[in-house]
Amino acid sequence: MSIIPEDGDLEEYFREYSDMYYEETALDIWNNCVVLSILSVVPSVLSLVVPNLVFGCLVSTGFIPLSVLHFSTGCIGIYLVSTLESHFGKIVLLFCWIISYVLLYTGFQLKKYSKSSISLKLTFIILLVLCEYYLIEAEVWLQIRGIVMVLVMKVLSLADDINKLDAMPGFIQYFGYTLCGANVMFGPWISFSDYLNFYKKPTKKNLIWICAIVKVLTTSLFFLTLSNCWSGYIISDDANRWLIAYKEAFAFRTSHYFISYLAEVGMIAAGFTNSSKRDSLNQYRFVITEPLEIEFPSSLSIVVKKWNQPMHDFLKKYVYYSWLGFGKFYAILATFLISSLLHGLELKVSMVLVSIGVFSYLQVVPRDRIAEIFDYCVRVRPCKDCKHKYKRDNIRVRIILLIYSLATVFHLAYLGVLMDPSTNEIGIYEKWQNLYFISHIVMFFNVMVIL
Amino acid sequence: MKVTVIFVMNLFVLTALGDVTNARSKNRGKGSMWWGIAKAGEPNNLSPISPGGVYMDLSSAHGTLRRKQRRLARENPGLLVALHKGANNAIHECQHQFRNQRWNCSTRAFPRGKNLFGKIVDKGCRETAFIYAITSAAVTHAIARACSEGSIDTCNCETHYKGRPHVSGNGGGAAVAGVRDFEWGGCSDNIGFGFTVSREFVDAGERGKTIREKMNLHNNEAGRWHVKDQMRQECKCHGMSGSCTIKTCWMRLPPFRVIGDLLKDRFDGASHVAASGHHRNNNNAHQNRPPKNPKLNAISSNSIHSKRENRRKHKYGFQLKPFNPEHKPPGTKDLVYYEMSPGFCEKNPKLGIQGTHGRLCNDTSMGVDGCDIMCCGRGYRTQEVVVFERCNCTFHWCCEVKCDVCRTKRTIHTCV
Repeated sequence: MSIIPEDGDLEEYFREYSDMYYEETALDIWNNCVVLSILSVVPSVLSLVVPNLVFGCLVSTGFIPLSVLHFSTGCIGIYLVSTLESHFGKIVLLFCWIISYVLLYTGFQLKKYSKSSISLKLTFIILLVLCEYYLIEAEVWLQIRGIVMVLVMKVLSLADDINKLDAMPGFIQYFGYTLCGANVMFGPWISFSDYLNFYKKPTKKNLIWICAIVKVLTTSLFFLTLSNCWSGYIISDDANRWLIAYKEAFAFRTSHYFISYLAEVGMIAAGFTNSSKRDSLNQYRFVITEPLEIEFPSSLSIVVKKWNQPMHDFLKKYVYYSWLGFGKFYAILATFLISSLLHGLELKVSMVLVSIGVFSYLQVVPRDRIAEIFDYCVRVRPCKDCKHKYKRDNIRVRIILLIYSLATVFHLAYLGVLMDPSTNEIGIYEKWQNLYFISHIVMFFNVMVIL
Repeated sequence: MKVTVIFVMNLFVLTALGDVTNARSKNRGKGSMWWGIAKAGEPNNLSPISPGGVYMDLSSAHGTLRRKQRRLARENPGLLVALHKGANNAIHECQHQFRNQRWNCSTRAFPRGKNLFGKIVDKGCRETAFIYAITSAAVTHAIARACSEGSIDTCNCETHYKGRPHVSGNGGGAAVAGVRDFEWGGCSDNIGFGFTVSREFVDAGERGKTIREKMNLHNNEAGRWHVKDQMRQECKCHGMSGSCTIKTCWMRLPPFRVIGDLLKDRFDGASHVAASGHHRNNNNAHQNRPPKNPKLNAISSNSIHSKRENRRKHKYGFQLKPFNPEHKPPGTKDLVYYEMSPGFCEKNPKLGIQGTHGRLCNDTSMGVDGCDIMCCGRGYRTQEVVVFERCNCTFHWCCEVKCDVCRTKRTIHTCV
């Protein structure tokens, strides 16, 4: 409020008045945050892309012996790991890698005596948990955890494959597979057979391939700036608690997209593909995550699936199916448990994983129930040829679907806040208390629907 | 039109006074003549013909500057515009912080250099300390901002990257996964540039010999250090499921309001220092190191020689003694004063104090903005007036807020 002496210079007055409130502008964000953030990942990106690009071209020439290729991709992996800051972390990685081979080899030799590779799996899981809590200081462990996780997933899947195929891979193949330069740093996990198939039919290397790399890299950096800069700019710190929760969770999700797309860049550069599409640009894709399906989700189980497709495939193939004999419920429980164990039973991640497991289960059942009672087509997985009376274009069906979508967005924000660094200071309970345990209340209603 | 004429006349006076003031024997605050920049080149004085816009008009302020300041402005094109903005930010922020106090940081309509804030700056009191701190802080802030906007050529980002070979390399050797040695570089060092230029420019006239000059130097430094400390590095980890495979860092220069708030806190807890006697230099106690900053050379490499470097160390290497020997000596970010503030209740032409007559007050508040305190017990008048307010603000995509201007009747209280 202010009194204006003369009516004449009203405009002048307001211009001056608004000048007083200097806020961070988009230009500030661009200069101080976007540019610096991108510059600080340039070394990592270059050391990932350039060697893999060269390797990809070598593979495509077709006349280099396979063993040389296995060896060279392993060397790229070692080079990438050697760029890590902590020397202790590198030693731990080396140690993990050596015992993984020793265990696999002895396991294979002793196979006559024990049928499953359970002891190997147990060793690794215990190692991960010990690393998380006892063996390594947290800062070093955080740096190598992602790498160890990918390594462990590869070894676990390989152990099962060895059991099935009854054949131990050669050392040089093992060296190439576990230390593959394209995915040792940021993932994704690929199976041993995928890895071998890659040498049989690598992607064509041409200008479109380069365009695809640039496109995916740009997407990756875009998500980086969203995570570091724009999320905080769009939703300021004095917004209400829901928006702030959404912002924290959004920043975490976009950070995940950044890493996933960066991993994809490495995979495409080396010549991997998992795309079934044959058109020019889309055949050069190695889809890891699908941001649109997660940002605008139809249900939590879709989010779980699309969050990290290769990891989802791993869990499904090597955990879920092998436990299915004990019953569906135990299989799901085991999947989420193993998934937590892979993360070293870290409290925050385990909380999020277990909650997602429970919540998504509590979305599937009521929707099945509603579909059954009202004959609406609202099941989590759209039925192929829908025999329900009310199809997806029915207005009431749409409303229900929309409600579940919105609830999922809420859940994602509610669970995502835990992944914000501030949780370490504030605490999980306090963070959720701050949001009035809204997701748990929503879930309570879902339980009511079931009953 | 009237304003323009007076402004032009004012410039004459300004130019003429520049030398006169410097020649005065009692030259307190002679280093503060540059404050006049704030009012030079007011928007309504912009000549529509001149293509140089603000810069052309600001060049008229040259008269108020010292030789060294003029040289800095010459060597760093765009600096004057930033200083103009900084000085105005300082005034706005000062007036915002003191809007509810008896002294409301009022500025003179047509100031002459240091007299921008009135003669209060002749006294070595808290208010003066705040003025010096906020102006030097605002200048540091504005220069850093101007750098990141690219409007000062001598500190643009590109020139600094050249000095960092391991970033431009193709990821070999030292190019670590962004974790090992994230260094300040590029645009992030703008604050260092702002800091040094502010030192060179704002402290140009203070030699640090008398207690008053030491007070000014100390408060100027305090303002700058607040800005520098608020310029934060923020880092964030990225990796699978919350691990830290890549660490990214960036900078945040906070809104100037944050710095204003901090300085106001320092004002409330300002240190009273002993006025008498010249104290021995005590280099160790005072931590006024210039910020580590290789690229400041952009400005200082050819202008500051090693001899001066020594002198500068000397200049900031003093320690003020607290008035009460039992108190702790003032720290780098504390504001210092050595004279008591005059009363601000009554008009005092000698000190340029306008008094609180006619000031608005809050009849329900028990604080300093309450009518009892604000009006110094003289009582207050209540009346109904029409005020203009922004109202019905709507957000237009993107990114503009449009408001209507509403006239509303309101009851106000003014001191008699």
